[in-house]
Amino acid sequence: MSATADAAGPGAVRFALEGRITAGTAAPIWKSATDTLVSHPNRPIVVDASKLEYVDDVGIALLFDLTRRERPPEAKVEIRDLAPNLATLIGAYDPKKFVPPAPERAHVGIIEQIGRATERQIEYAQQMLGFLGNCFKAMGLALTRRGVLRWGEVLDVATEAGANAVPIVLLIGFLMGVIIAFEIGLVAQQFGAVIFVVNGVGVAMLRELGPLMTAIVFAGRTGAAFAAQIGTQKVNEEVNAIHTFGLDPVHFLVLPRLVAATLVLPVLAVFADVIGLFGGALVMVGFDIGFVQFYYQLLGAVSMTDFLLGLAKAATFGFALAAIGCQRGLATGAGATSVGLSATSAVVTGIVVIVVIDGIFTVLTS
Amino acid sequence: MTEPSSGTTQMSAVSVRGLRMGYGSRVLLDDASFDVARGEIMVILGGSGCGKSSLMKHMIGLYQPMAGDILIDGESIVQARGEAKAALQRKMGVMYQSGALFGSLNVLENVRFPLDQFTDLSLEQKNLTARMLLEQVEMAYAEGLMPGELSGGMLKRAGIARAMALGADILMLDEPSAGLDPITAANLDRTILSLRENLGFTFVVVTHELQSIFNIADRAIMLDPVSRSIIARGKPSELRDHATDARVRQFFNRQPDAALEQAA
Ligand SMILES: Nc1ncnc2c1ncn2[C@@H]1O[C@H](COP(=O)(O)OP(=O)(O)OP(=O)(O)O)[C@@H](O)[C@H]1O
Ligand SMILES: [Mg+2]
Repeated sequence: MSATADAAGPGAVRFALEGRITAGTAAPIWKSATDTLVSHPNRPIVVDASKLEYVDDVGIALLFDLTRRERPPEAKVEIRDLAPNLATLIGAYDPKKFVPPAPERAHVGIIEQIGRATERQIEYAQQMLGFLGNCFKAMGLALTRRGVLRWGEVLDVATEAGANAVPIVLLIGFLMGVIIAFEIGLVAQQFGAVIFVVNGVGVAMLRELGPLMTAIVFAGRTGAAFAAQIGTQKVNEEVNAIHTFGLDPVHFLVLPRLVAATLVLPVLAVFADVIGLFGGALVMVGFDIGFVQFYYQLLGAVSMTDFLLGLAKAATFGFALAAIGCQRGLATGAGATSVGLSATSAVVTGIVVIVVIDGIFTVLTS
Repeated sequence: MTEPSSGTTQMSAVSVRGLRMGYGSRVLLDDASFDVARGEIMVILGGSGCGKSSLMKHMIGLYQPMAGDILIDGESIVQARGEAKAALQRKMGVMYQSGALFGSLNVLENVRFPLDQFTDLSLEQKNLTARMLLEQVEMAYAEGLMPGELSGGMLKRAGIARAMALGADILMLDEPSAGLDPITAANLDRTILSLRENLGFTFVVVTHELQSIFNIADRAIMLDPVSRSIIARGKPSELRDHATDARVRQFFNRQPDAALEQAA
């Protein structure tokens, strides 16, 4: 340790700073120097800097810290024999600019927090509604006027969001079919009603689980990707560039994604339906119901309406997820972190909205 | 700094020997050698895309050269591995061309980051150090802002403050004054000169600002993408007036290409 305190002097407390004070060595020296100052609030302090060899920015901060403290006039801190170049550096700082940090931000009470959160949600809902309005307008334009929609881009998005998602959709759909068939099967067996498991699997897969599970996969894969892609473009000011060319980002970035998602999700849902039913049928073999029996029971249990209702849901989910993903992307703030926040928020909002839409469908169609 | 300690004599802070660097099969610079003395301010010049930033990234050991060696305080950063390499890298403070601040930390936390990682100082002490560094680059008023909320010039200045935080006495600055107003740029030049004067810092600076070059540089080297070599080295004012290569004079006198044709 290169700071040595000795209180023997006449009235004044003396200590010396020696050697090198750098980021690596400063901590103990700084602490002992501060302790000396604090424990002698009413005596003058003399710091001997004649044996100081080297200081870096941390050392300078230390020296500055010793001189800037508020002390009574008879108890000043004096640094002796400081090299003139260091004195120049330290003299360049104005102690008034380094007053103690502002107090912590006032604590926000829980009621106020709830209020603020609600306000944010309402604001977000308003934004979303406005954005949806723009989307519908753009969609309408795309359908009525040729050339507005660039089909090449729609195809690109559809390939990435649709074709590349087939394996995972198949896997999830299959497992869903297997799981419900098995769960309902075990219960139904106790009542001797195993054959009706087919009805359960059929209705559940076509009306609910096919579209819903596909949409959840879609939210994680594609909704997040839309938000991240558009968010990155926002951060790089590409969106501003689109604006300054007099183009509408909704036409340019959002429309192809909306169309692709609305078309692709029902197709994926069909895959999930079919493989899910197949999974169910496999399980039913274990309950002594063969494929043929499963097939005829299924024909009696589900109707074309169930199937089409599922597809309508899937298309709505696709539209909603794409809209949310794109909206979150366009609402991205500045900086790389905000892209991540947008993507996360797109997934969370997407899943919540899907479930809400599903609920609305159920109420309307029952 | 105060007195040069007798142990470190005239060893170069940075020494580049026979460097060949590039990406893939594309060579940007071949057989380049130069030294940066302790306490020297050296400027790297050259047209856009000629490899100035790449050279700097090689000097700080981010990329492996295709051939040649780079010594920091006499030790090879090319051969060093693991902790030895990290220790060499900590001798250098680097400001990247884009600022490279951490997006999830505010300005003060960015500058404090190296102190948080490598020192046992108290939070108050680290904050004071970081605030003084920010004061030096006139960024104290922005300490609470996130990098996403900064302008290009502010990002750079915060980047400089962070580069200095660990007390590295070799500072590498990639276009520190690009995008700064003349006053702030002049103040930055003054800060650089003051740090060299009072603390003996060594600077390697990439810059195109002629004014700044004449103000601060002891020596300049100029890279050339065509010959992939250093086509000029020396004091800027001498290069301006006496360089044999027409392109070098053109650069220092800020003349467009047509002037070169006339001169030829
Ligand atoms: N990571 C990389 N991979 C491949 N090539 C690269 C990489 N980084 C840079 N380059 C190429 O190396 C060349 C030099 O780039 P560098 O960034 O070093 O130029 P510079 O001289 O700093 O230019 P500027 O003045 O525009 O900043 C460029 O042509 C660039 O295309
Ligand atoms: Mg560069």
